[in-house]
Amino acid sequence: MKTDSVIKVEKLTAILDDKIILSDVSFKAYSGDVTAILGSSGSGKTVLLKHLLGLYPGEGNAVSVMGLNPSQLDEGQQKHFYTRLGVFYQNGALLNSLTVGENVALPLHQHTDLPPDLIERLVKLKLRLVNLQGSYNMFPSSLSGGMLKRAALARAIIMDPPLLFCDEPGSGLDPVSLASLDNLILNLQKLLGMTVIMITHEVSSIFRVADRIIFIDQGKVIFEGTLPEALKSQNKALMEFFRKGRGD
Amino acid sequence: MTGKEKNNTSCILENSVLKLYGELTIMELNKSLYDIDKALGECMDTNLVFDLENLTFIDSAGVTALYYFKDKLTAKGVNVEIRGGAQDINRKLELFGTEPENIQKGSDKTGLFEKLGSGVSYVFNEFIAGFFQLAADITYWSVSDLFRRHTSRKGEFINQAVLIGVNAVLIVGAMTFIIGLVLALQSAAQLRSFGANIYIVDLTVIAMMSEMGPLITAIMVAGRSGSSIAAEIATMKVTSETDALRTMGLNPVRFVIVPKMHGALITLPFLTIIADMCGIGGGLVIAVTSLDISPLVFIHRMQEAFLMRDILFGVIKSLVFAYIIVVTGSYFGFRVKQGADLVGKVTTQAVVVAISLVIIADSIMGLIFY
Ligand SMILES: Nc1ncnc2c1ncn2[C@@H]1O[C@H](COP(=O)(O)OP(=O)(O)O)[C@@H](O)[C@H]1O
Ligand SMILES: [Mg+2]
Repeated sequence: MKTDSVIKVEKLTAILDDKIILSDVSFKAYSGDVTAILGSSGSGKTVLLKHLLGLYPGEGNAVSVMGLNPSQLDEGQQKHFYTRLGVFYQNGALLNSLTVGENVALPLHQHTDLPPDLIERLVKLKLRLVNLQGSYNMFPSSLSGGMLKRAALARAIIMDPPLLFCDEPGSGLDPVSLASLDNLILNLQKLLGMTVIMITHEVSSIFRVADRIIFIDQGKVIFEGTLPEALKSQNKALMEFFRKGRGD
Repeated sequence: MTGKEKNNTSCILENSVLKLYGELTIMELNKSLYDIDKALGECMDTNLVFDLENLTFIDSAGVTALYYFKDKLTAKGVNVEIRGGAQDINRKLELFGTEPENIQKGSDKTGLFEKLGSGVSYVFNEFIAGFFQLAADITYWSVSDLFRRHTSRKGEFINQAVLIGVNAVLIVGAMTFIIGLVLALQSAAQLRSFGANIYIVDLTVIAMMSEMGPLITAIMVAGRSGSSIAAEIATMKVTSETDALRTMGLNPVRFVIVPKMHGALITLPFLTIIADMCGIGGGLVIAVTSLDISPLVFIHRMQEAFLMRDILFGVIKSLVFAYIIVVTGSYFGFRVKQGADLVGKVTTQAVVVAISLVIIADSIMGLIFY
């Protein structure tokens, strides 16, 4: 049975600008799984992700990621923490002033002293894994939406992280590109042996990739369980979500 | 998840066999690459075996490194065989090990260095406290990165110097020339009525060197670069680029703002001196055309009026202004939390506040130094 939780959140409450964004959020994510965090737009998914990444420093003890509290790391721990996770941001978040190759190489330059020719090889391997071998010298502005996402994915996995976070990887993609991106993430997950946390509001993605599901509605966790359990759930919001998502 | 990172990689080279132990992962590689490289450098054989029997784990970076060494040795004429890996390791060798195809270099590098930005902590809600915290942060990293060259981005500093300083030369020069012209023109009538024509030189030189030159330069730069710094950082915040930098272990202040700070601090003094010269040029034109002072007399008189102290004062002022402009631009950029519609607003605010602060600082310094 699954016992080794990579992420454990217990009673996380987030208040931003005097608004309660998350209230008493608790869930677990297990090693080797693809855990989908779903919820409609504005339900607080990105805010939750930022808590998991330690981007709101010094707040509480509710979150544990790979055994650490990401909001209270000292400098050394933080460096180590960030070498062990990859993040795929909602809109790619590649730096426009750098080429795709330089973007993907950034974490390597930051965390290692490897020689440039080896770094180039590592970058090209990852670009090959996401089918972007020709884009090494291109700038992000000249890539299509789907290519941009794959470049961001290459950057997220450059350190071979045990843990990968994806924030709405499918947003803005047509269904065909979405399906191929999902399959790519799934393949990489198996290939690199990663645990994946995938934030999404695309129901079709969930059917393709999710092992477990956390459903968030208006800042609260409404459902936590496996995909078959979710499909059987009688929860109104969840049923509505699946019905609409399929219809789309 | 547990205990993996304690297993360091080690290697022993014996009888043409390089035995690898432990785990070969990206972070281990960083520590042991040099050892492996050294061991291989001493190897004089023509046949070599990488023995992976004692390797417990390898990731894609490890595989890439193995083939990297193999190719290096092959280039030296050494035959390399990789063998002995466990099933899992061999599978990864197959998956990640194909030769890298050569992607030709040298396509256009026309990248405009824009849209960079940064993210300091979310605690900066308070206006003043936030401002000074950011200022302290920028100051700290700007100074410490002077001594740690390899951590900052090579070349970015020069790009910023060009963007902030060099590209402003024409407009700053033109504006100060016109102001020098107008200033001298307005005074000419008065001076003529006192028969004090020659003092046009002192007036222009002192006004330009210690006041107008630095101030006009700073206002032009605040308008050009203060706004673009704010817009750039705000855009980066909106598109999560600052978050991305942080989760890659990079400090946005160091990555984005420090090169701008260095660029501005280096170029603003020069820009100010150019402005001084252009302004004095404007005064010269009026002196020659409407006060009947010959250029030679003007220059001779200028040497008397000209004080090193004034130039130095102007340069010190310009450094302070450069600092104010970069910090203010960054501060307003960071104020954006979400929503692209705010980018335009903070850009305007940044310019207004930067110019106000420049004028306030100018008067304070004027009071102190005189
Ligand atoms: N930094 C912030 N300050 C104030 N409110 C925020 C901030 N970030 C997000 N919010 C608010 O939190 C809510 C959830 O946002 P978000 O997590 O981005 O939603 P989503 O689930 O679509 O990712 C939204 O109402 C948003 O306006
Ligand atoms: Mg979101």
